[in-house]
Amino acid sequence: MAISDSRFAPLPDRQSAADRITTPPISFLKDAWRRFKANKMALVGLAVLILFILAAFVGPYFANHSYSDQSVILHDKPPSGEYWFGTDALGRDLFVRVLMGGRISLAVAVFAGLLQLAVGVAYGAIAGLRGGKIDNLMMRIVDIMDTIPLTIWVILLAVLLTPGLTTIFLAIGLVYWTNMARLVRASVLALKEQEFMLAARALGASRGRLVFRHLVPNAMAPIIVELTFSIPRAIFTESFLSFIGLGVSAPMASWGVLASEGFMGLRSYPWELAYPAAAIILTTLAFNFVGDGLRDALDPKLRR
Amino acid sequence: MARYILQRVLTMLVVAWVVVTVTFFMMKALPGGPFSSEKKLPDAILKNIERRYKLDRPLMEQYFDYLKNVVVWDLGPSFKYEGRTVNDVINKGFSVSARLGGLSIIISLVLGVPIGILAAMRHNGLIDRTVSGLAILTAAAPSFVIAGLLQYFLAFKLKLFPPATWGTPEHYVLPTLALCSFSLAWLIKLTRSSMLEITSQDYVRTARAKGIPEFWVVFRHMLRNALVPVIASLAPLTAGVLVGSFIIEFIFAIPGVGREFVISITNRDYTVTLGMSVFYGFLLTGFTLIGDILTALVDPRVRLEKEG
Amino acid sequence: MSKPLLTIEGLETQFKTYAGLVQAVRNVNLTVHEGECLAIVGESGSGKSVTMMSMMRLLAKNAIVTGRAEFNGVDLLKISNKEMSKIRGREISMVFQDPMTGLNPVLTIGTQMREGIMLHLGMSKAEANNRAIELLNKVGVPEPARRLNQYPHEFSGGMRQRVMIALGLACNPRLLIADEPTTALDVTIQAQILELMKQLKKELNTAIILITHNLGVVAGMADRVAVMYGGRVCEVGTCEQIFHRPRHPYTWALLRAVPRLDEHKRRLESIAGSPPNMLKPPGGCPFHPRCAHAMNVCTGEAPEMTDLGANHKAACWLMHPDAPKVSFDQEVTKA
Repeated sequence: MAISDSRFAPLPDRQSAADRITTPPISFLKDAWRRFKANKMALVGLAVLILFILAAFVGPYFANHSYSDQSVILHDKPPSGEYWFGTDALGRDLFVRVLMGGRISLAVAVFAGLLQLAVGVAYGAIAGLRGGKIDNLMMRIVDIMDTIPLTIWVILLAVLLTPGLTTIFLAIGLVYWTNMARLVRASVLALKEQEFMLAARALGASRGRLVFRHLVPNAMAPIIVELTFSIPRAIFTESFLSFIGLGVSAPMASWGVLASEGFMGLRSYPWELAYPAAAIILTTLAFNFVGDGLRDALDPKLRR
Repeated sequence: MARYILQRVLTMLVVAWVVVTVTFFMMKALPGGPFSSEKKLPDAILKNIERRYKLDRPLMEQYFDYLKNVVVWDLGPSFKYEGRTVNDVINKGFSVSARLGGLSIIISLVLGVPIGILAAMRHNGLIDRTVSGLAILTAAAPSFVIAGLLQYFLAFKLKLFPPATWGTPEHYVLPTLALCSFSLAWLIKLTRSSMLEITSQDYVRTARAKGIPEFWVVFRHMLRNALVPVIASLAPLTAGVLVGSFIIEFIFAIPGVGREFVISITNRDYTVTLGMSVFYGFLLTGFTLIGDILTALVDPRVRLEKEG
Repeated sequence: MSKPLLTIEGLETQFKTYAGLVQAVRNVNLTVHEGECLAIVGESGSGKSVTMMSMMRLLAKNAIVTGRAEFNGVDLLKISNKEMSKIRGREISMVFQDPMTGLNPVLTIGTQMREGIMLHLGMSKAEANNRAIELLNKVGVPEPARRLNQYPHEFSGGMRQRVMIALGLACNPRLLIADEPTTALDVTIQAQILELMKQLKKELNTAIILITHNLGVVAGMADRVAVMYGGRVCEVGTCEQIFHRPRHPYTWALLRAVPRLDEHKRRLESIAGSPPNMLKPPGGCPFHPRCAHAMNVCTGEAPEMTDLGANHKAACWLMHPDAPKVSFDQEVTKA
């Protein structure tokens, strides 16, 4: 039976087309990056962070004044063309000091964060993987640590050890890892039982391979997000410690020390507090936005 | 439930024991302490100290004696100042700090939760965006920055409130505002996101499908579920206020426990620092327990777990 | 034939997402008569649930719904939210898929059951309590009086689904929409729940819209069947017509995919390809990428519903007088 109308002629053979997946496959990372990019605030946060990091580490080399140059006659001057952020009580250029402060605060925060990461991930992974009595014991210890506000532990450590830069990031890192540990343990516990782990074992994967190629990548997302949020927490704590007098010593200054110094002259020279404070606030905001963006971008359940 | 409370208390006691033990041996080991022989004190006082703290007895006996004292809440002598005990320090400032801290917590709860709910209900509206923006900004500022802002604008410039010290109701305003700022912002964010998450839950859909008016859906179905994470965060919130009080009392020269804590740190008055840490630990445990009990009250699922 | 109770015309639903506009429901027309059971069948993503949720106005704020849904002389899509909530639970009820999450964990079953009853039927708390006990008895929950004071997590899955059904029937609605009511349950419980629904339908003369992807369930319960794919209705007719004289290639594929005990087939039949991307649906008939009989015209325009007589309709270009004649029996013998 001839077909008169060509409209009703069968479509050319598309066997391959039928089995083709209709949406182009995007790898997990690319999809996550696409979602991150869509989050405007996260991008702004990222930009601010990059700017600050560059300013803090490279900026002082281009500045006119060094952070420790004192010019006692020019003390407590308001912002001007010569001194962009004004001067502090000893006539030092506040702008450069804020930049240098950035170096210290950021470095402390990042190192503390990495320390928390190392301790927390190891602790949580061991607890989660071993389970049973060891897990119980390890979690008990964490609970014990939590009975006293963590910041107080940090203070106690800082008091007992000699004051200084290393002490601070050690104190912060060695105390705040509990959050990370809990998170990692929860991830490990959940992932341990999931079917893909069983499938991998059924295919003959060794214990090590199981942990590194299957468990860790799936647990990475909350770890990264937690790391991002731990940095502003460390900055906060460091500024807190500095305010109480447990921070770094002169002439080195972190943002916390600068804020503390700025407080002395608050009544008459408010900018001495305002600039370091603004630095802290903006950095914290930036990290928070980036952290939120990462969290939304890396959540596999939101994948399309 | 009882077993759970017991467990918590036990944990606290273990911590206390650890800290107290460290304190004791530090007192013995570090120079400049109340028991060291370097002190040039009048003989009478020395004899008093020796008698009271049984310094001529063997070490272990001294240790257990010290532990016993802690149990009856005698936290021992100040490291730096003769004649002063840790208890003195705590007692002196407690009522002041309690008022300041208590007020902050209450304000945070009473204002924070309703505002958070309101913002969630008017999601993406003007109120929501303003409130969320302010909350995010405030939470990103360390408490001393907020304190500084308040001091500068409200006390120095506008001369509305006294910038420091304590005494009259006006003295309460600035420190309380500064102290509750973080927890207020935090509670607003938490309540809001909790409500937003719940609004897309299946059981809320069921309630709407039953034709329940939106008003009831919010107050009867969503609220209790949304409050669960809020109540769970009561303990860390209190911890935040406790720690915040150190700086706030310091800045505003308020004669409270927090300021004494900071002073003890600066002075390296170890026994006071450690003893007060134990004290803070007990406080926090108390609040954690309250939070747990409240959670069990609100969420029936938790009750079953605890009993079983 | 009884009176039409619900008439859906030209229903279209789109969702605004960060990736673009998702066309979930496209030009759907359906009718449900009093006391009858209409089954809506299709794969996940075919738009069956969204159609019902659109009609009930239960979708999130990023949904755009157009068209007409006439129930009892009222266009449900045009009335105010307040008026709609009076209809929901009272005239039209909906039972959802997952009994685990469908009930509020912090409220007792009693509270959740009395709520709707007191609201819509104006009963006092005591009266509502009695009605709730009556309902729980009807759906087969033992010890109803004691159960009313318990919480959802104290019930098993099957029990919870029964409670959800009781909730659905509490105010004697004219129409009950059941969205995959048995998918989350064991097979034996499934059978019980379906029996229950059949029985209740007979007793109360409630019309039921049953959304499912399980043809076995359809055969057991439905009077009429609508087959959906890619947001459109492909074929609609009585149970008999759909199962014995299907005309749409997708219906054929579905029927073929059901494994049978009485044949010696060695391979499980499946439908090649995967469901369409609703962000950029294929032009013309949504099924053409996977249809064995696709023709050139199928990629261009979507076919209209052809009336095959006795209220049996199918939307396929094969119905066109100029198209080649293909039939299901040929299909079966070919395979």
